[in-house]
Amino acid sequence: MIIREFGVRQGRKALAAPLRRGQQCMRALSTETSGTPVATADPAVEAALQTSPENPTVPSLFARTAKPTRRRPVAPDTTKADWETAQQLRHNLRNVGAQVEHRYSPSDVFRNPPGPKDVTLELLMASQAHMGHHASVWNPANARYIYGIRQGIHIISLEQTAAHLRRAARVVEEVAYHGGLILFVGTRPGQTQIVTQAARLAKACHLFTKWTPGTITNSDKILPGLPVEIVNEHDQPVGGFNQHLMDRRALVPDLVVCLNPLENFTMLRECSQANVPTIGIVDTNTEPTWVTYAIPANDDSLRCLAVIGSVLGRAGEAGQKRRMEDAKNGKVTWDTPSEIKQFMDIQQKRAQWTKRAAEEEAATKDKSGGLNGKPSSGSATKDSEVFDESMQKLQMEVDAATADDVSPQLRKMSRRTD
Amino acid sequence: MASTQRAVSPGAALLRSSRLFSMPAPIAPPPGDMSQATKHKSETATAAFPTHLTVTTPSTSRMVGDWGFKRPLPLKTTTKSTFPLVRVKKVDSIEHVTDFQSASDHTITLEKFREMNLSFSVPAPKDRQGNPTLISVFEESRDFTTPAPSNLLATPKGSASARAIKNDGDPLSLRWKFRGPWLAGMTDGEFDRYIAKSVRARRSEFRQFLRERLAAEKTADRNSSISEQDASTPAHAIPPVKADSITEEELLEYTRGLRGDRHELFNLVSRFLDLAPVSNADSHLAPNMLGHMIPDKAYDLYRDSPYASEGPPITHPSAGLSYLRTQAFMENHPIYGPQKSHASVKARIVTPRFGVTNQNPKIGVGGFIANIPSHETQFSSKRRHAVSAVGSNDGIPGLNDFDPSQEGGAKVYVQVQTANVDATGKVQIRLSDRDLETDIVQKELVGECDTFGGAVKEAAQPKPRSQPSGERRYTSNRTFGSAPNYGLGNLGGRDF
Amino acid sequence: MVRGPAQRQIRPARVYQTVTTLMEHRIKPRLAVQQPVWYKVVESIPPSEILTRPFPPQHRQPNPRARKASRLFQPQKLVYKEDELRKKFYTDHPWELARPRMIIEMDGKDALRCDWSKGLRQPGMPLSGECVVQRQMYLMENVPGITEDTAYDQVRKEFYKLRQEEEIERRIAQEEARMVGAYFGQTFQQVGMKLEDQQFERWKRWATREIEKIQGEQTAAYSSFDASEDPEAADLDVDSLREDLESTANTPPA
Repeated sequence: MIIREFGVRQGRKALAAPLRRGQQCMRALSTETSGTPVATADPAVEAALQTSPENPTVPSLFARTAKPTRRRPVAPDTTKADWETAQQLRHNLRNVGAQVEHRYSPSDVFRNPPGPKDVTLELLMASQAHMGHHASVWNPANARYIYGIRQGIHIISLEQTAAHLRRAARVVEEVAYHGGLILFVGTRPGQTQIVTQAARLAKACHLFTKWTPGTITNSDKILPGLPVEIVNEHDQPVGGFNQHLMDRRALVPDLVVCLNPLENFTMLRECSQANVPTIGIVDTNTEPTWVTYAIPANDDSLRCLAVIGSVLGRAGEAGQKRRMEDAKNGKVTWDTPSEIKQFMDIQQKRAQWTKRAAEEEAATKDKSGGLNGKPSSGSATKDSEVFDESMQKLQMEVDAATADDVSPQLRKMSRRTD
Repeated sequence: MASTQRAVSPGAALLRSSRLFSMPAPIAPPPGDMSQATKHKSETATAAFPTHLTVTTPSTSRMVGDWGFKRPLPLKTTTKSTFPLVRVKKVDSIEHVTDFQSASDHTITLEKFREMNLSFSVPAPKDRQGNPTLISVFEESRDFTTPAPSNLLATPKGSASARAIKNDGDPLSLRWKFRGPWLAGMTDGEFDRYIAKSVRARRSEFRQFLRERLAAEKTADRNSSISEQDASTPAHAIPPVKADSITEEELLEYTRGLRGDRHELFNLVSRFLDLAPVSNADSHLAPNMLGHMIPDKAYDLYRDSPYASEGPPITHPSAGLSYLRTQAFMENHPIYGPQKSHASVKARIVTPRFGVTNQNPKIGVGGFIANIPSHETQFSSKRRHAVSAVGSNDGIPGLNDFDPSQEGGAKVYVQVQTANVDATGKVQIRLSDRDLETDIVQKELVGECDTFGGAVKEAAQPKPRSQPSGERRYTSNRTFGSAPNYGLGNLGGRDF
Repeated sequence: MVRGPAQRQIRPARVYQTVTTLMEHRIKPRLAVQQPVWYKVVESIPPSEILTRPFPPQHRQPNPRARKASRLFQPQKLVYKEDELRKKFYTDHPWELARPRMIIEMDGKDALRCDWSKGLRQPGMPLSGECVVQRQMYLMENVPGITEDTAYDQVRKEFYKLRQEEEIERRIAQEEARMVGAYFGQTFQQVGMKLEDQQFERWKRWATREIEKIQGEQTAAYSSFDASEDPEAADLDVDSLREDLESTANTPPA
C-alpha cells in the first residue's frame, strides 16, 4: 500500500526528471512483467500497450492515476549496446599501454594464505608487524623483542617476530598432527575473517565474539549437553557411544591461539588453570607472561594479524594432512582419551557378562534337554567383535570435514554470546 | 653515526629502508607574525607551507582503512573525500589512537598552483616599477649552497675578480642560503646570543682567516710589481706567500688598518661568518655615497642581493612548489591555435577596496592571496559602482565595494605573471594587467561564454533571421568540459 | 583505553612442568592423569625465556663524559644519517611534503629494486624527496672527496630537472589531448571555486539571518521602551512639542 503510494508520489517526480531516469524508475516500480522494453516515456501509452487484447491485464494504480504527459521525442535506449561497445573497447585496448605489475592487494592474504615457509622479514615488515605501541605505554617485559624507537613508537625486531612465529607455527602443526583440538580466538572487530580462515585451514575451532567467562572452568554449567561426536583415526564418526556422550563433560581445547590477549585475559587465565598451552600475539604493551608462546608483533594491524593467522592456519593444515596420511598407513598419532577407554572397558566387560550369562542360560537349557547343539550367541559375539575392532583406537574429535563446521561444543560457545 | 658503520642484522637493514622509516620528521612551522598576535587571527587558516608529509593509499587498502601505519584509520572519516590524503601527526599516542587529519588543504592547493603553470623568479626590487626582467630561481649562478673554497676567501682588492664583482655583483651574495644569520632581522637578544654563542668562540679562527687573506693580498701585490718590472717572468712561477710566514706584527698592522676601513672589515666579517647580505640602500650607517666616490674601491655591498632588504627566504626560493623555469612558452588553444598570452585564471576578490580605509584589494588566486599590481592597471580604477560590460575599461565589479548580490562572491579573471617566496616562506603571486581577449577565450573554454559557437551559428543562419549571439545567458549549472563549452556544440545546429 | 598494570602470570609458561608434576605425583592414587596431546610437543618446543632483562640494541655512541649510565635498559631511538638529509631537503622544499606518498608497503622489497648509482628515477617508485635523499647518501658514500653540501647541490639540480620535465610534460600532454578532441572534467581550481561559492552563500544566508535578528531585537527594544514609558507623559511631551512648533511657526520672522 505504502509502496504504491510511493509510486504515485515519486513517479510524477520521476517523469518530470530527464527521460532515462524516468524510465528506470518506472521499470523498477512496475509490478507487472513488461515484455520488451518500450521506448516511450508516456505511462498512459505503456498502460495501453499492456492492456492488449491478448493479455487483458488491469493497469496498475500508477498507470491509471498518472496523467498522460506531453509527448517528447524519445531516444532509443542504447544502454545495452553502449555497454557492449565499452566492453569490446576495453577488450581491444587491454594490451595497449603500460602493464601494471600486481604487487599487493588486501585480499591476497585470504585468496592465497601464506604458510610458515613464506614467512620472510619482508613479508612481516610489509604487513606492519614491527610497529609497536607508543614508547611511553610499553611493558618492560617486552624489552627483549624491541629493536628501538622510531617516530615515537617501539619497533619490534623483525627477527624476533619471525623466530617466534615459526616456533608457534611448529607448535600448531605438531598439536594438529597429534590430533589436538585447536581454538583460534580473535575478538576485536575485523578479526572475524582472519580467525575463521585460520580455523578452516587448520580444521580447528574459532571464536570471534566474547569469551563467556567460565567456559572452561565452569563448563558443566555453561556448555551442558552439546552435541559431540566420536570419530576414529580417519575422522569418520563411530557409533555406539551415545551413553557415554550423554554423561561426559565438555571438551577442553588442547591449544589456544589468541590474537588479542589484552581483551582475553579471562580466557587465558582459564586456560592456564586448565593447563592448556596458549599462543598469543604480544604487542609492546601486552604482558608476555599471559601466554605460553608469545609472538611479538603488532596486534592492531589487521594486515599483520591476517598474515600471522594464515601462517598458523597453514601450519595446522600441514599437521592435519600429515596425520591423515599416517592414519592411512595405519599409524595413529594419538592415544584414546582415558574416559573413553574407561567407558570402553566397562562396555567390554558388560558384553562379556552378557555373553557368559547367555552361555550359562544355554547350558541350563541344554541340561534341561535343549534342541540346539551349538550355543546360539553368534550374533552377539560378532557384534562384540566389530565393536572391539572399532574401539581399538578412538578419540573424540571435531568433525571438521566440512570447511564451515566447527566443533559443536565450541560452536555453542560462540552462539551463547550472540 | 654509529649505526651506519656497524654491521646490522638483515631485519634492521630492511627496517632502515622501509617506507615508514623514510617518512620525514615534521619540519618547523612557518614563523608567525608577531604583530598579528593582537589582531584577529584565524585558527583554521591554512599554514603558509605544509609541515607534515601527505600520505596516500591505494583504493583497495583505503576501503579497509590500511594506510601503512600501526592500525587501520577509521573508515568514517577517511573514505568520504575524493582523494585519499592524510597527514599523520602521531603514529601511536598514549591514548592508543593514531593522530591524523586530512591533508587536502595543502595538496589540493599544490594541484591548483600546478594548473597555473607558474614559475618562480627572483623577487624584484620594490622600488622598480613596471615589468622587470624575470630571473628564474633555478639559475646556475644563483642556485648553489656550497661556494667553492677559493670564493669564500674574500677577494683581494684590485684583482680581476674584484672588478668583475663591481660590474656584475658578488656571486656569493646572490645565493639564497647562508650559514650565518640575517643581521637586519635579528632582535637585540638574538644578536647578543649569537655573538656569545657562535662568534666569540671563533676568534683564533678569524685571525687565521685574516692571515690567509693578508698572504693572498701580499702575493697579489708582489706579482703585480714583478710583472711591472719584468714582463718576461710569469707571475705564477714564484711561490705564493704562505699564511704561516706572516708575522704577528704584520697581522697587527693589518688589523689596525682594517679598523679604519669599516666597509672592508664588514666584508671580511660577513665572509668569515657567511652572513646573509644586508641592504645598504636605506642604511644611514654605511657611508655609501662616499664609498662610491673613492676611486678603485670595490665594495661587495654595492650590488644588493635580491634578498637583502627582506632577508633570505627560509626555504629554497621556489619552496618546492613549482620547478618551471620560465613563463616564456606559448599555449595552444584547440580551435584558436597559439595564444599570445597565458590562460587567464579565475580569481576571487577576497577583500574589496573599501572606500574609507582605501586599502588595497586582496585577490585569491589558486589558493594563494595576491595583491593587485602596484603600477597603473585596470585594477587601479577607483571608480565605484562600475559598469560591468565586457570590453569596457570602466572597472571590475566587486573590486571597489562589497557586493552581496553577486552569486558566490565577486570574481575576476587575472593574468598571473610570476611568483616568489618571501622571507617567512609565504608564496607571493604577482599579477599583471588583465587581457580581456584572453579572458574571453578562457571563459569560453570553461563554458561561461560563447563566442566561437555563436559566430559559427550566426554565419550559418540566413541573414535576416540571425539573432545576436551575445544575448544568450549562461547559467552556472552547465556541465564543464563538454562539447558545447569548447565552442563546438552549436556546430551541428542542435539546440541545447 | 587506559588499562591497569598488567598482572604477571607464572602458570602459562610452566604448563609443561605443572602437568609433569601432576602425572608423576598422583594426588588420587587410583586416578591416573593422562598425558595431554600437547605434552610431547611442548617438551620438544619449549617456550622462550622472557623474564630476563636484556641489554637493548645500541644505536648511539656512548657518551664518554657521562659518569653514570642512564636509561641503560631502555630501547634507544633509531637515528640514521638520512634523517638529517631529509630534514634539510624538506625544510628547503616544504611543498614537496604536499605531494602525496604511499607509506603502505606493497611487498617490502623496494630497496632491492633501487640502484641509486643510476640516478633519481627508480623502478616502481615515483620521484619524491626520498629519491634525493637516497641518491645523496649514495654519492656521499661512494664518490671520493664529495662533501654533503656538494652532493646536495648536485642531486638537487638533477631533481629539479626531472621535476621540470614532468611539469612540462603534463602541460603538453593536456594540450595535445585537447587538440585531438579530449575533454577534461572540472579542474581543481573550478572545483575549489565551486566549494568556495557554496561556503560564501552559506555565510551570506547566515549573515542575513543575523542582521534580521539584530534588527528585530532593535525594534523590540524600541517598542518595549515605548510601552514602559508613561503614555501620558509621552503624550504631554508630544503636545508640548507641537505647541512649540506651532508657536515658532506663527512667530513671524524677524
